[in-house]
Order: sequence, then C-alpha cells, then structure tokens
Amino acid sequence: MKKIFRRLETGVFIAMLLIGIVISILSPKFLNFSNILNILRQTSVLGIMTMGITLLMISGEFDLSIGSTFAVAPVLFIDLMSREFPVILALILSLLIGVLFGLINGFIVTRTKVHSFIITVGTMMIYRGVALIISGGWPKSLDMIGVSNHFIMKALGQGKLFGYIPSPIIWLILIVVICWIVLEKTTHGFKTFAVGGNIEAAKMSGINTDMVKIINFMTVGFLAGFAGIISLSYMGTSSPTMGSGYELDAIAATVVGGTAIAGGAGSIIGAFLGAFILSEIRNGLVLNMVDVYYQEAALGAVIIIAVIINTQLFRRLRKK
Amino acid sequence: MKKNSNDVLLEFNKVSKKFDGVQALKEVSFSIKEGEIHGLVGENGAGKSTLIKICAGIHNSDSGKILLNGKEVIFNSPVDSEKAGIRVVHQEVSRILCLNLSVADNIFLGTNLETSGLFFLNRKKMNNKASELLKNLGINLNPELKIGDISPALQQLSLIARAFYLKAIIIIMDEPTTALSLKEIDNLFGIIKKMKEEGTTFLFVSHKINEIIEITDKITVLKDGRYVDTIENKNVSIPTLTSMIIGESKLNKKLDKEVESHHFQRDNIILEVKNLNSRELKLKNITFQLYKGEILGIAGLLGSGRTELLSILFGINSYESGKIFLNNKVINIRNSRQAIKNGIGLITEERSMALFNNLNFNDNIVPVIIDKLANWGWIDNVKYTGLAKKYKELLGISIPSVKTSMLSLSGGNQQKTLISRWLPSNIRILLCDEPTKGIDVGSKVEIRRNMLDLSNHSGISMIYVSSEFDELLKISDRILIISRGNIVKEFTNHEVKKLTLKILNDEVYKYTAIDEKI
Repeated sequence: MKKIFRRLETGVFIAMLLIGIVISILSPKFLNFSNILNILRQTSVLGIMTMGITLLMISGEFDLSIGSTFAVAPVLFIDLMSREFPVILALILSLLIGVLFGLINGFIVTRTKVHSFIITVGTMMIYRGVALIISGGWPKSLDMIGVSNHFIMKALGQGKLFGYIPSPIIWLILIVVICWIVLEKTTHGFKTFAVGGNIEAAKMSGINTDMVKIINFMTVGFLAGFAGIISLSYMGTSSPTMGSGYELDAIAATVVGGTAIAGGAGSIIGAFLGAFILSEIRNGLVLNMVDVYYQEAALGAVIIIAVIINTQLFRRLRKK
Repeated sequence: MKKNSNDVLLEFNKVSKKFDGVQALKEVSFSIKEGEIHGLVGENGAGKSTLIKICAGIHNSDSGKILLNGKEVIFNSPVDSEKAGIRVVHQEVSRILCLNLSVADNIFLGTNLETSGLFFLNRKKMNNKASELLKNLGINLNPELKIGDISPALQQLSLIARAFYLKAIIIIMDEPTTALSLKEIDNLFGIIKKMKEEGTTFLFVSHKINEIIEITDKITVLKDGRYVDTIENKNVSIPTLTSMIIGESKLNKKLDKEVESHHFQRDNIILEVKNLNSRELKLKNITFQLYKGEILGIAGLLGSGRTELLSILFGINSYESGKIFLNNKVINIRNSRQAIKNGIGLITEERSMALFNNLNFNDNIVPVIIDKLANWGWIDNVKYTGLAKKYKELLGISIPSVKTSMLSLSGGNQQKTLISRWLPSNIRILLCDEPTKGIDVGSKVEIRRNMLDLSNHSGISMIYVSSEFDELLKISDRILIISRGNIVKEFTNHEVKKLTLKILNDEVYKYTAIDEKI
C-alpha cells in the first residue's frame, strides 16, 4: 500500500477517477465505451505533445515553441504535396522540420545558458512566422490537393483499427509506450533524470549534459510536428494558426501528471493521465451543455485542483 | 553604558543536538559574561557550527536550555534570534547578503527602513545613516555601492554595522577572518575591541589559534560535541590550547598508522604537476608528483588553495600556465568528462554537489559507468542492480534495500555511495576533498579503511585533502602542506612514518603565520 502511494501516478489516477465519477453522476452519457474512445481520440494530439514535454521537463528545460511547430509540420506537409512531392517524402521532410526546430532550440539554450523559457518564447514567434510564410496565411485542406484518401492519411488519422479504434489512439499508445521505455529503461532516460536532478553532479559524473538536453529538445520538436500531422490527417485541414496555446496545455498535463517543474522527477504514465484528464473535463463540460464561454474557465479551475491533489496531498503520503 | 561585567549574559545549559544519529552536541554548558570577547574553539565536527546555528535560530536544540539575561529563550527562526538581540555573522557572508542590492540596502534589510510617508524609501536618509554607522566603525565606504562588488572584508564590516544598527547585545562571529588579509584582520580586531569598550559582547569562533589568543578574554573548548573547559586567556600558550583542542593523549601518542600495510611503487610516477599557476584561483607555481598506488595527503586550511587545486585536476576550473603530465604525457583537461576519460575521479567536499537526491541509492552508484551497463542504450537491469548490491555489501552500507531513497541515507552512507560510484569505472587517480567531512567517528574509520582497501587492491593513486591532520597522518604515504596557494613543505614517506600530530599542526600554522607577515 505504501509503495502505491509513493508512486507519482497515484495522485493523478485518483484525480482522474474522481473527476470521472462526478461527470458520470451529472451525465449518464459519459460512461460508455464509445464516449471513452472519443475522449481518448481527443487526448491523442495533446497526449503525443505531452510525452515530449515530459521528457524535456524532467531534464530541467521548457519548450513553449511546440504550438508553433505543431502548425509548421502540417502546413509544410500540405505545401510540399501541392508541389507534387510524393506523399511519403513530404511526410519525412515535414517530420524532419520538427526535429530541426528542436535542435535549434536545444543548441541555443545549451550554448547561451539563457533559460529555455525565454529562448522558446522567441522561437515560438519565429516558427509561427514560418507557418504563416509557408501557407501564405491561408488554411488548406487535403481535399483541395486530392490526397484525402491516400493510405498514409488513413494510417495517420482517418483510419480505424478493426473498424473500431481510430488510428490517432493507436499512435498515442505507441508513443506513450516508446517514451516510457526510453525514460525507464534506457541510459538516455537515466541521464535525463540525472541532469534534471543535479546538473553539476551529472557533469562531474562525466555525463554530456548538453547532449542529453539537445536530444530531448529534438524529441519534443519531432513529437509536436508529428502531432500536427496527425491532427491534419484526422481533420483534413491545416491552418497556420492551429495549435496556439497547446504548449501550455501540454505543460499543464505534464505537471498534473506529477512531473516537477524544476526537473528531476516525473512520469510518462502520469503525464498521459494528465492529458487524459484535460480531455475528460472538456468532454464532461460539453456533455453537460456548459456554455462554451464558461468551459475554459472551468478547465483552468480543475487543472489547479488536480495539481493540488497530486502535489500537496500526495507529497505528505509519499513521505510516510 | 557599561554594566557590571560579572553579569552572565548568555548561558548554555546542557544543550544537546543530534543529526541523523550523529550526536553533534552533548550536554554542552557554559556561560558568556556581559562585555567580554568569548572565544570558541574546537576541531572540525566539534560542534561549534551547530551551537552557533542554534543561537541563530536555524536549528532547534533537542534538549537543554539557552538563557539570555537569565531568562530562557527559544528561537524558532533567525528573526526570533535577531529580535532578542543576537546577531550572527556567518562564515560565508555572501550567502546571507542580497548581493544585487547596495550596502545601505543590506544594512537596513528587514528592519524598519527609513521611509518618507508610508511607502516610499528615503534613499538619502538611508545612505546618510549607513555612512554614519560605517564611520563609527572607522570605515569610509560609499553606501550606494552594490554590496556584491566590494571585498569580503567590507561585506563583513557592513554586517557588523547592521548589528550595531539593530543594537545587538551579543555578536557571534563564525570564522570571520578566513577571507581577510592580515591588515583587514587588524582593522577588524580594532573595531571589535572598540565595540567591546562600548559594551557589546562577542562570541568569536575561529580555528586560527593565534587569533583567538590575541582577541579573546576567555576561551571555551569543545571536542566531539562535548564541553571540555573554559579558560581565562591569560598566559595561555598556543601549544597548551592546541593540546586541549586535539586532546593531550592523541597529540603525543604515536598514531596507529592505518597506512602501515599500504604499498606503492616509488619509482613510477603517474601524475606530475609542473609550475601550475592560476591568478583567479590564487595558485602559485604548484609542482608535485604522485606515484602509482600512492596516497598523497595534502594538509591545508580553508582557503589555502587545496580545493582549487583539485578542481583544476578534475577540469572544473582552468589554469593560466604550467603543465600536467599523466604517465609522462602532457594532458590538457578542459572538463570533467575529459578528466574521467583520462582516469581521474573526484570526491567533492560538498556531498550535495555530487548526490542525486531525486534518485535512489542504486541510481547513485551508476552515473559514471551508465553507458557500460547498457547495450545500445538499453540498460541491463541485472548488471544495474547487481552493481548496487555488490557495493552495498563491499562497503558495508546498511540500508534496507538498494532502492532506498538517497535522501534517507546518513552522511556516512552517502559518502560511501559517492566513493563506490568511482569503483567500477577504470579510474587510476582519485581526488578526495575532505572525504570524511561531517561524518561520525565510526564511519570515518570505515571510510578510511575503504579507501586503503581500494588503493591496495586496485592500485589506485589518491590525492587526499583534509583539514583533519590526524586523519592525514593515518592514511597518507607522503604529505604536502599547502598554504596561500603554494606548496610549502613536503614530508617524505620516511618522515611521515615518524611524524606526530603536534609537529604537523605546528608546521601548518607556522607557514600560515609566515605567509601572513609578508
């Protein structure tokens, strides 16, 4: 029992259940299989971005530019396809731009030692500018260039496994599993915890701390771009303004999931549950016909409560 | 102002304090009279700092009483202690100053600032008042200067000015002279004597015995957390006081050389440092050799350059000129990663610098060799846990499981963890900076034994820095004395075998004293 309470994920899991219970009392439509699948599908885009942010935050850094990267990748994807690039090549190039953006963030942060918070505010604006420049400011749809039925689009967004499970959910689960393995089972995961916990000690142990951070920045960039492309494939449209504000959702989900803002501690499963809670609340508010204008405020309030449950209450239990 | 100087101002009555099972203070009782300069001396770990921290409200005592003017006082925070009129000037002044603010700001920080109206600071009034306070101490200092830009001596004096402003009835000074030049020390002593005439009481803590004898009226000696004696400072000689601090029996007895069974290759130099200079770190012409398998002791006081020397060898700091040879080849170490690649490891003076408190015991064993425990980045869990279990056994670390949180380990076990971090790596040289600092006596013996075993079995050479000289005598094959950034004396293996603590102690202080006269 003690062991369970010590786990970072326990608090957020209980918060998820409590919120679920409240919503299902208020609305009988909440607790059925297709609605849960729906919530998971809504979680997928945010969840994929959250995985990257969690790795990065454990190593002690932030990235606020992911909302912009989230727009650049699909915008570039559509643009390349409209220039008659093969779909697969366009996809690879669009994913690489996310990696490149992450590399730029990581390089500037580790070289200058300026806090990543402010560096990525700057690159957030630059990357958003890139999205606007590539697209010319216009939204575009897959139908316009006639690729909406391409098998890659099906695999990334519109398809359903066994005719039932939307493919974004499959990608989400895959990425959660990979990130969990990276964090818990690999040397990179170990170094991520070490760098975030005590960077001087990590340096004195011979760990290349800059490299650890840069790899995490690149992972974040890749996952943000990938999430953008999933979103495009599912919705069928991209816009240069899409994804703005997602960086804060992802940070909120990560922290709700038990990751320390200062780094050094965190959990992939917790972050996944954190992202799930955000979608769960949005879903619950819609089901209960809460006025759209009230929804954001309510979401904010619940995030704060969830963080308090996880950090304050469970910190005391963990100490015992 | 001057009251009857026989009144007891501050009295300690059976004060005890325990940290993580280490008895830092055991029923310490003594009293300080009004208007006297009371010295407090003892070895590292004797309990001086703990006693000061209790007075400052940083720690609470476990039992016992503190009486101020005959009334029992309990300080739960530094604010309580300051309100009662106790002002502590800590060893590292820069830690308790707001370095980004001016001298005047720091003097009035947290007091009723000089204001005009309700909210607006009256800078002019503050600066004038600060100037006046500083002038009273005989210092001409512009109070508008940023306190981070002035010398440590002036920073310290600013804090004394603050104590004066707060009408402190007793000022506690913890090692106030470590960062000061001889001239600055003279000046400080002049001020202390002047303030004493005006009725201020001082508790003066120092490990510099000559200073203690120069400035104080009475001296209290602590040893291993216990009260030894309080003596009048009349006709007390340095040797008498030293023997009280270290303990008569220990001083003259020929120490059990734990190193007796230790062997090293006398004709095989592994590391050689030639004419190493660094103006920034105040190191001058450092030259020495380290033999294969040797334990080279370095004796020096705080600020002598001992930590700085190790930081250069481990690539944390850079140097301006000079050469470092490893196995007769010049090496250029620019960061810790390169030092480790060259087979050099470091155990730091501050354990908190090297520990991962966010992780468990087993995770703290592996960071240096993590890449060797994995195939293509995938950690081999059997090797990982096996290693932790092995060193838990080997070094006798008593914890319930290898997955115990690092935070719950005692100081001794934390240090053993940090030592075992280097064991599975292929280091040839281990730099040890005060490896037994703040550890109880029993663990100290164990750690030294661990070090000796390590050197005997795997032939690792060590540079062993310590300010506890008896420890150096027990473990070193040779001993160098470092003072003010210079290596001033070497005791050869032959000499070390006959060396007593008294001689080593006298030598270290002799060179310190000579340096200061220059």
